Amino acid sequence: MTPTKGISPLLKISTILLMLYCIIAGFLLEVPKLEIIHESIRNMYYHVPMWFVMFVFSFAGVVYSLLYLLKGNREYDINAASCMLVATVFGVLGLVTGMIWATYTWGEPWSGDTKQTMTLVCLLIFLAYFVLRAAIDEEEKRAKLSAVYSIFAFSLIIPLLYIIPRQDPTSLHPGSEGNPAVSRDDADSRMLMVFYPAVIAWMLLSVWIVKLLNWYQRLRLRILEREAN
Amino acid sequence: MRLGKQIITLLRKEWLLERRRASTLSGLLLYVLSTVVLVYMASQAGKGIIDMVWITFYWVIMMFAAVNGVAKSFIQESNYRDAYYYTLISPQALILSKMLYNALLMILLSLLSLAVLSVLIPQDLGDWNLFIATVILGGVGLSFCFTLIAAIAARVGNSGTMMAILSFPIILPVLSVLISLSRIALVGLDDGNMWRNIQILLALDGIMLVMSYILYPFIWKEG
Repeated sequence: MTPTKGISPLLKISTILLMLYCIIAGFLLEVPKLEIIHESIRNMYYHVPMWFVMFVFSFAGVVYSLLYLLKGNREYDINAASCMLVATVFGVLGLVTGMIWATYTWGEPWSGDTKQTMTLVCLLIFLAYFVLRAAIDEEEKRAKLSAVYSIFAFSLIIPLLYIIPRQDPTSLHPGSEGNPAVSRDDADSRMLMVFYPAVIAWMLLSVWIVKLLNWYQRLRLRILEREAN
Repeated sequence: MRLGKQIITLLRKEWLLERRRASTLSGLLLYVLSTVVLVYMASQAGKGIIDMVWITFYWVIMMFAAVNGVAKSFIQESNYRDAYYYTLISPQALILSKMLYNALLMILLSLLSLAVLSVLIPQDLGDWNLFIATVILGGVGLSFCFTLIAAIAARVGNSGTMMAILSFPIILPVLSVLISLSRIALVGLDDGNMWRNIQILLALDGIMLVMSYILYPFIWKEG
C-alpha cells in the first residue's frame, strides 16, 4: 500500500481549502466588539473546534475499542489507538489555547474552572492509556487490555464530563444554563459563517491524521512481522 | 443459582486466604496507621489540620490504602492457580466475588482509619451520620473502581506502578463526588446537592459493577 492510497484526494483538497478559509477569514473578517473579549473572540474558531475534536475522536476511539472486543479484528485496535492519539493532541492544544484565552479574559491561565479540571482529568486518562499500551509487547494482549481500560474509563467519565460541569453554576465557561455550545441566538451570524466551516476543517484534518497514523502503524507491524519470519 | 453459589464459595476462599496469610491484612492496617501518624507528626500534633484539610488528608490516605489493598487481590494469584480457575468457575463469579470482598475490606479499613484519624486529630464535623455514610459509600466506590484496574495491572509487568498510573485518573470522578459530600457533612447543612451527589455516587457504583461484569471475561485469560 502506498502512503497516499486510502486517503481520498477529495478529503485532502477540502481540508486544505477549509483550513485556509478558517485561518484567513478567522483572522481578517469582522467580529462583534465586546467588552473584555474584544478581538480574542477569534479564538472561538480554534479553541472550540479543538475541544470538539477531542470529544468526537475519544468517543470514536472507545467505539473502535468496543468493536475490537466484539470482532477481534486488528484494524479496529489500530484505529482506536490512532483516534486516542489525535484526541490527546487536540485536547492538549485545546487546553493551551484555552489557557492563553483565559489569561486575557478571565485574568489568569488557570482559574480552577470545572471544565478545565475535567479536561485535565481526561488527558490524564488518555496518557495512562498510552502508558498501558507501551508497557505490553504482545500485540493481542495489548489490544484487549487497552480496549477494556478505555471502555471502563469512558463509562466513568461520562457523568464527570456531561452531568457535573453543565450544572455547575460557578463555571466561567458560557452555557452553564444548559446549553453547552453556541446557539443561534447569542452568536453573531458573521461569526457562525466562519465557525461552522472551522469545525468541519478541524474534523477533516483530524480524520486525515488518523488515516496517516493508521497507515504508519500498519507498515510498522508489517516490518515487525517480516523481521520475525 | 450457580453464580451465587460460586460467589459465596470464592468469598469464603478469599477470607480463608486472608486469615492464613495474616500479613496482608495486618500490613494494610499498619500502613494506614503509620500514614495517619505521619500526618499527625508532620502537622505539629495535628494543629494545622482543620476542616477541608482534614477531609483531604482522610481521602488521600484512603485512596492509597485502597490502591495497595485492592492491587494485591489479583497480583497475589499465581498463573497456575488462574489456569485452575478457568476450568471451575465463570469469570463473572470471579470478578464479582473479588469486588464484593474488596468492598467489605475497604468499608472495614475506612471506618478503622476514620476512628484512628479522629482520635489523633479530633475534628468537629457538622453531620457525622452523613460523613460515615459517605465513608461507607466511598469505600465501596474505591474498591469497585480498583478491582478491574487491578485485574488489568496484574497482567502487565511492573504492576505496582501500573496500578497507580491506571487508577488515579479514573478514580477522580468518584473522589470529586465524595469530596463534595464530605464538604456538606463538614458544614452540617445540606446545600441542596446532597441527594444529587448520593445519586451520582450510587450511579457510578452501578456503572462500575456492570462494566466490570461485562468487561472482565474479555481479559481473564490473558496471561
